[in-house]
Amino acid sequence: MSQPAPAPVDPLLTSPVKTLLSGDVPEDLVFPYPAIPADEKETVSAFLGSFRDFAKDHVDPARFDREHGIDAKVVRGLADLGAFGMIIPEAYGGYGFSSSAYCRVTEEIGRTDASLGILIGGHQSIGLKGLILFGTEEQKKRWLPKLAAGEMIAAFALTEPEAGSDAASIRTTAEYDAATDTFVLNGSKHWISNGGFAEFFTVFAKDVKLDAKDEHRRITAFVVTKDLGGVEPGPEEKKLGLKGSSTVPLELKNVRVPGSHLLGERGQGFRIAVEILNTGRTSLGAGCVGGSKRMIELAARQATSRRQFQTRIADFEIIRAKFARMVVNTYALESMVYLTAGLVDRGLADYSVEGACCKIFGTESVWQTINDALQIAGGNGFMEEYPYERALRDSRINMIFEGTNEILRVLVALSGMKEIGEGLQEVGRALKAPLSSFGILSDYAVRRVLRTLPAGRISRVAPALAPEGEAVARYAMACGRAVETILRKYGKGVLTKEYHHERLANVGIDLYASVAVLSRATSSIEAKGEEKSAEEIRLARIFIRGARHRVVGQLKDIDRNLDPDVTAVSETAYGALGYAFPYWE
Amino acid sequence: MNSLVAIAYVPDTESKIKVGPDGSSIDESDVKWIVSPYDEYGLEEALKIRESKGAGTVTVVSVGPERVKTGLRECLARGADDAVWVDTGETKNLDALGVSKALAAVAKAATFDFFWFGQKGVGPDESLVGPMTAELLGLPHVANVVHLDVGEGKVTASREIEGAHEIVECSLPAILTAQKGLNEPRYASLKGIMGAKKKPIAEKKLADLDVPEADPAAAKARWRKLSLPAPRQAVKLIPADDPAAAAKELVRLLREEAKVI
Repeated sequence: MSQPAPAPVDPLLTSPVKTLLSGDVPEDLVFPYPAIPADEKETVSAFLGSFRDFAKDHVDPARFDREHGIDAKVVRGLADLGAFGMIIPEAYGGYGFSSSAYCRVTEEIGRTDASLGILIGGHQSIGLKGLILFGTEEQKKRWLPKLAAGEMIAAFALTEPEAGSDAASIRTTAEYDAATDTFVLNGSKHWISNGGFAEFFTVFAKDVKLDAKDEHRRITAFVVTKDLGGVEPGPEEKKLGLKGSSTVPLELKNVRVPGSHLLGERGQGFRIAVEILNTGRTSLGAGCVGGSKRMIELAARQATSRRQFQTRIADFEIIRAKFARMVVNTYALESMVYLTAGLVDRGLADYSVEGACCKIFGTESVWQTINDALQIAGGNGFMEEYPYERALRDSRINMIFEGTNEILRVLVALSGMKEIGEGLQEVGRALKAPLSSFGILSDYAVRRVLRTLPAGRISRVAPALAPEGEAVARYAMACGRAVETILRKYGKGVLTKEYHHERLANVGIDLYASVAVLSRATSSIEAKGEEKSAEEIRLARIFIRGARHRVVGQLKDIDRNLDPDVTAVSETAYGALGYAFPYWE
Repeated sequence: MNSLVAIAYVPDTESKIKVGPDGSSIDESDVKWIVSPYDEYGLEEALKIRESKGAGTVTVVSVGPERVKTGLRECLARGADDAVWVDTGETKNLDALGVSKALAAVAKAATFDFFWFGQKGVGPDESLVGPMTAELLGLPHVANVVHLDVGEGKVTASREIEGAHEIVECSLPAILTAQKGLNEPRYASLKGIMGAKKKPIAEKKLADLDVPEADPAAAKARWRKLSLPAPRQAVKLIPADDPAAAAKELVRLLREEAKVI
C-alpha cells in the first residue's frame, strides 16, 4: 500500500498559527491531516519494537534517578540501535528521519524515561542540529558520522549564569587571531545537558574583534570538541528531576578553536542559536505526548483495580472527569504535534510559532496529566516506590528550558500580531525589530492565504463536526479583530503589553489545537465513516468545548480587564519584598 | 557455515487471547504478532556462528500467512541474509507435521550445516516441529540447547534436562532446538532495519510443496476446541484468631465450595 506523497507546501505561505491569530482558518495547510507514508511507517514501527525490547531489558528509570546517571552500557546499546543518528542524513552515516518520524520516536522515548529523552534529544535536537543546518560539507563529513554512531555525544552550550532567556547577553569571548586563523575562547557556560560526557559542543561566544552594529551581531557559533583542550566540565548539578541526565557547568579556558570549526559566518551565531531552538521544540512536544500516554496507562490500571466504598474508583464521576481531561488533552496535543511535524516535512519554512505552541501546550498539558494521575493514585502517588513523583519532578523543567513558556508566549503573540501589523505600517516596522531576535524568517514576504470563503466559515470539516468548525472560525475572526484593536490602541507600545501577549498566545494555542483536532477527526471520518470515528468525534467535541470557554474568557479580558490593578498588586509586593497585608503577625 | 532458522510468528506473550467464533481457533483481530522468543535464540546463535567463522549465510524460513513476512523482515533486520516464506494461502491451523513437511521441503533445496528451531513455538507449546523435521530429513537432532561449541564437521551441545545438563556430540548437518540461556538475542538496529528492505524474501506456495496436510481433511491433528482458563476467583481470607476453627472452616470450604476434597 503506498499513499501518494503529501503535496509540498509553498514555503512562502504564512504559518497556520499566524493565520489563525489574524482572523482566518488556514484550511489549505491543515486539511487533510498528514498521513504517514507506508515505507516510513514500516521503518519506524520496526525501530519502535526494537527500542521497546531494549528498554524492557535495560532501561530502569527508577535506577537512573536513584544513581544519578545512565550507565555507559545503556548509552552504548542505544548507540548500537542507531538512536543517536536518527535525524542525521544518510550520506553522513545517519538515517535521515523526517520530522514526523523523529517525533514519533521521541514520543516513545518520552514514554519510557525523561532522562533518556535528554540524552538523545540533547544530542540531536540541539547538540548537533547546528552542524546539520549550518555546517560546511567538510565539517559534516568530519563529525556527523561519529555523532550518528554515538561515538561522540553532542551538547548545546549557549546559556550562561547571566544569560538565560536574554541569550544575547552572553559573556564568553572569542578572540580571533588572524595570523594563525584561530579563535581563543574563554568563559563559563552552565546547565549544559550531556555536558559531563559530551565530546562535541555547539558553543556560542562574543566575537570581540568583530565589527558589528549591535551585540546580537557579534555572537559567533563554534564547534568545540573536547580534544581541543581547555574544555572543562564541572561537577554534576543537583537537580529536582531528570537526575539520570547530565547537567554541568562548562569552563572554557583559552580553548584554541581553529577557523575550520567556525559554524556559519562570524556574527551569525545568534540567528543560528535561535534557529536550532526553534526547530527543536516540536519534538519536545512529542516527548510530552509519550509522557502523557504513560501516565494515562498507569492511572487507568490504578483506577480500575483500586476499590473504595465497595466501588472501583474508576466508577466515580469525579475520577472519570480526570480521565476525560487527560485523554482529550493528549489527543489534542498529539494532533498538534503531528500536524506541525507533517507541515515541516511538507516544507513549511517558518514553523517557529507552531513549534512554540507544541512546546507550551505539551509541557503544560503533560504537567497537568501527571498531576491528575498522581492524584488518582492517592497517597501512593506521593511515594517514591511509585513512578508518579518522579514523573512530576522530571517534567517540571519542561516549562523552563528550551525557551521559557513565558518568552514563547510573547513570541507567539508578537508573531501573530505582525501579520496584521504589517497592514498598519508604523506598527509593522516596530514589530520587526524584537521579532528578529527570535530568529523569525521575517525576510520571507508574508503572503496571506487566499480567502475563498467568506470569513468565519470553514468548509473542509466533516459535517459531524460542523458546529465546532464554525465556532473555531468565529473565534479566529474575533481574535483577528482583537489583534487589530490592540494594535490600533497601543501602536508601537504593543511590544510591552505582555498581559495581552499572554492572552493572545493562549487563544492562538487553543485555536491551533482545535484546528489540528478538527483536521484529524475529519480525516478519520473520511477514512472510516462517522460510526467508527465516534470516539474521535467525541474527543474533538469535548476539547473544542473547553477551548471555546477559554478563548471567550481571554478575548473578554482583552476587551475589559483589571490590568492596572494587577500591575499595582505586583508593585506592592515588589515594594514590600513580600506579602504586604498583615492579619496576625 | 550456513544456517537455516525456522521462524514461528506467534501472538505476543502479553496479548490477551480471545477464542474465535468457531470455538477452535483464536480471534486474531486484536492480536499483536511477534517472532517466537525461542526462535530468537536460534537466530542469534546462527548469526554468532556466521560471525565467528567469518563466512556463511543465515536464511530464515517461515510457514504461514502474509503476516509472517513482517516477522521474517524483523529477522533480516537483525542480520539474517535472506528469507523464505512458505505461503499457506487459504490453509489455516496447519498441523505440526504439515509445518515440518513444508520446512523439510525448503531444507532439501538448500545446503546447510545447521537448521535451528526454538525448543517450542510459544502458543501451541508442542515442541514437535524441530524433531519432526529432523526425522523427515533423516538428520540428527539435539533439543533444548543452552550452550554450543562448533568443531570440524561436528558440534558439542549442552542441553538442559530435568535437574542436569547433558553434553551431546553430534555430526553436521544437524537440527538444533534453542532453549533460553543459549545467548542474548541482539536488537534490530536502525541500520539493520533499513538494510533489511533490500534483502530478498523468496516466496513458495504451500500448495506447490508435497504437504498432504495442507488439506484439513488429511491433517493428522487438528484443534477441536479452545477454551480459556476459568477466571481467577477473589481470594477468600479466613481469620486465624482461633486456629482450630480456621482449619475447620478451610476444610469445609475445600469440601463444599471448591469441591476438591
